[in-house]
Amino acid sequence: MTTKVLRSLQVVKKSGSLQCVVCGSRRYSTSTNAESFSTNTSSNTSSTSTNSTNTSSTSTYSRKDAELFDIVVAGGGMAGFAMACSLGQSKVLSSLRVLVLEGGPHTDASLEALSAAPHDNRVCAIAPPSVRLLDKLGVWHDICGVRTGPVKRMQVWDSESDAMIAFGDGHRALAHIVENRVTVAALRARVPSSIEVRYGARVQSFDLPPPATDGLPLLTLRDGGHIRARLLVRGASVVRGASVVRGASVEHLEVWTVCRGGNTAARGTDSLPWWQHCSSRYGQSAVVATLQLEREENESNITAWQKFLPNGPLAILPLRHGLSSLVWTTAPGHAQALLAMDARSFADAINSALWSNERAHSAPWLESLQRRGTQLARDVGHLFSSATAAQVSSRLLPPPVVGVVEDSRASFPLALNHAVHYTANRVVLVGDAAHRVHPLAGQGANLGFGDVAALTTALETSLLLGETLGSASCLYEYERIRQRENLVMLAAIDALQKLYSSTAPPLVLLRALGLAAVDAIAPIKEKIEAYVQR
Amino acid sequence: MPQNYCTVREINIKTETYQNTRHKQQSSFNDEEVRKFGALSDHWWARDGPYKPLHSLNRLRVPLVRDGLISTGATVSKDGRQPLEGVTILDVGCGGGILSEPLARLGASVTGLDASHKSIEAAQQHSSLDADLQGRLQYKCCDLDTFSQRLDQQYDAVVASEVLEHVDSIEAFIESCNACLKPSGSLFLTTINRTPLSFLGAIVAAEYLLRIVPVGTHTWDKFVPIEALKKLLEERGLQTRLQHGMLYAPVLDRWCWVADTSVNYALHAVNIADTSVNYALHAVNYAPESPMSPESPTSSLS
Repeated sequence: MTTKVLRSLQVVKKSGSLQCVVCGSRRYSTSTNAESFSTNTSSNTSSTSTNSTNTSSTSTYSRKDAELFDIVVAGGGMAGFAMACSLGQSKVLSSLRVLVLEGGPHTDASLEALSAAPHDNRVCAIAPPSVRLLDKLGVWHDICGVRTGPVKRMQVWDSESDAMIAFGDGHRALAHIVENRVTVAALRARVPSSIEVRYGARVQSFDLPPPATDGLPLLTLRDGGHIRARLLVRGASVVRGASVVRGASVEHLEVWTVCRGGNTAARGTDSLPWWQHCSSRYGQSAVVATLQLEREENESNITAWQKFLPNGPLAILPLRHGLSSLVWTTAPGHAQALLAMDARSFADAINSALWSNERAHSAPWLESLQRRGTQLARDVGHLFSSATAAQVSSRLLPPPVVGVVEDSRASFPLALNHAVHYTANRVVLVGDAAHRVHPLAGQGANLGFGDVAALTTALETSLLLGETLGSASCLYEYERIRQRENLVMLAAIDALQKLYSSTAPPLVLLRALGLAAVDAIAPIKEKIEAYVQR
Repeated sequence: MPQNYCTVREINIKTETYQNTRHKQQSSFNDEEVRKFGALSDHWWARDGPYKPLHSLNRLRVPLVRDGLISTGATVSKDGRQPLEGVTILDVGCGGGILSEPLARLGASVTGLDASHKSIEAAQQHSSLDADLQGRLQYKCCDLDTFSQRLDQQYDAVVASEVLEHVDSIEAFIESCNACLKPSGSLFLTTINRTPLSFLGAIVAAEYLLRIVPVGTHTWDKFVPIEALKKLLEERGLQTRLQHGMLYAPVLDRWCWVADTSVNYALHAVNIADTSVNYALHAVNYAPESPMSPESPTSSLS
């Protein structure tokens, strides 16, 4: 343990039990499925070095046997591969040497093979801004060629009250439900040949230069290779996006946290933590599955249903006619019970959760207040409505679930995670490495695509200003723009999650009236729709 | 060039003072000013040092030079990353090379010129850290008058950014710059206007109140009124193509383009002395368009 304390927190969850590893030394050892991190500034890897960090940092960062790349993308998930495609397509950035390191194996699954295979249980809702980015990358057409589930209507309601809200007119797609592996495969196929992609490349450690110095990040791979990068882009591994087999363990969460306590007297710099994450565990797990719905003759499956239950929201997302994806956020114990049930009981549990009118607290005074409040909201809404405005939404019931696709049930834990800083000296975080959100709003992947677009623009502007690649001002610009957007979304989603996790009557009343107001007053609803579509 | 501009009597009384200085000194080189910058040479590249506003000014002046040269056709490079390939630029009063380095990275062949040994040393030391600059960037420690008399080549562009307000004789300076310029070459100037507002902004606020620059960096008498400068340029065969004001936000450390040229302003002039076409002196509207830069100012000649 040195006086300069580097603390990293790593959370590994294996089959229900929680293990926390907190390490106080400069370089912490690798555990089985995790990556280690160090800020070793001397070639001596001993953790007892207490020298001032003013000593030359060139010995570690100028390894002669290290390959040098302009940009290294560590982690090839949706954000990582989207970043690679975006770099390859940009006129300004396409001449850079780029390397993508993906820990998962190379799969030969072509898009044609994926379209014939059964639906995967991990899906994302791709919003219109992300569709525009994917279209610009030339990937969206490929994805549509495989399969997407357009969401043309969305209904959200509460189990504790009669309040509900509906979006969409049934014609224009609000979002598209796409399987994660289809998105990743389509992005992989479009990565230009000038960009090198290495599969099965697990990073043993990252050696990052201290702030305001001129060193370059050094990556050490498990197979012993060394790579230096002028700019390191960190995304999350595609392994996390793979489908999880029923009953198997949950994923492990990586929290890439570093606190640097420097020798502040000698360096005269502040000792703010380099990388802290704001994180909270929700105490919930998400159960995913692919459901077979009753096929209705004249109606296509274009509606997304979300019901807020006391334990968490239950969402049914359309995939194709008669098939939908389930994302049920609930308590971990209930999640395990759901996984253990047989298919019939599972389908019955979903139907009863969706169709039941039971309330945790019901009081006549509460219900009459709600009715009056809803009526008031409708009256106010009429003030804003015109002849062409949509009528007050009518409440529909979702089609019954008739079966579950075999081997599609799985669960994973949920957490909120947000890096306090997205950038450091020559390193930048995109996608899930920077933020993880609750799935109740389906925005996780969209925020990642937004990061990719913003980082590409920031790099282009920076290079055209003649700055060096990975200059601090360029990365700071990216961080400023993205945090402004992401924090708003994160705060809103977290607030919604907390608001709907309670059954206390005052909160139920508040949220019922709020939901009714947003549904009835057209300008507010239009603003929300416009924000999502921007 | 038709001589239908104002005579000396009609020029504003403030500029008359500045016009008379040319009779006192014939050189554009001022020993005192050079020593002032030499003393701070360690701090050229310090992130939060006294030259921080010059670093953030790159956000405006690099697109100014880049897009100005693209629009005048000085470069025909199709390279997305190096739009100034094949262009030669002289950066007068380059200091630590804050502007020279980005221009060299964009593909230009840049010669940085400064009269201060210490500044040139700092510039050379910093540029040696970046392998991309080798062969594209060279520095010379020399004053402009001597340099212009011993030229071995003329340049596509001469850039004098934040220099004019430190020289004694603007006329000698412009003459020397013009001598270094190829026919149809571009001259880029950024400096401070001499107005009551600039006294309040650039001296009182910047030096005493907000401490953005050290006290004594600027002298109000040496500020350059924009109209007088444009007339001087016209006399030398340099037609002003673009002028625009610039504004600094101290807390955010950001510069932005503004229409008002009362304090800081930028100017792009083109050497047209060799052409036989008779150019009118009044405004030619010219909007530099660059698909690559959202930051290009639209020009307006008043």
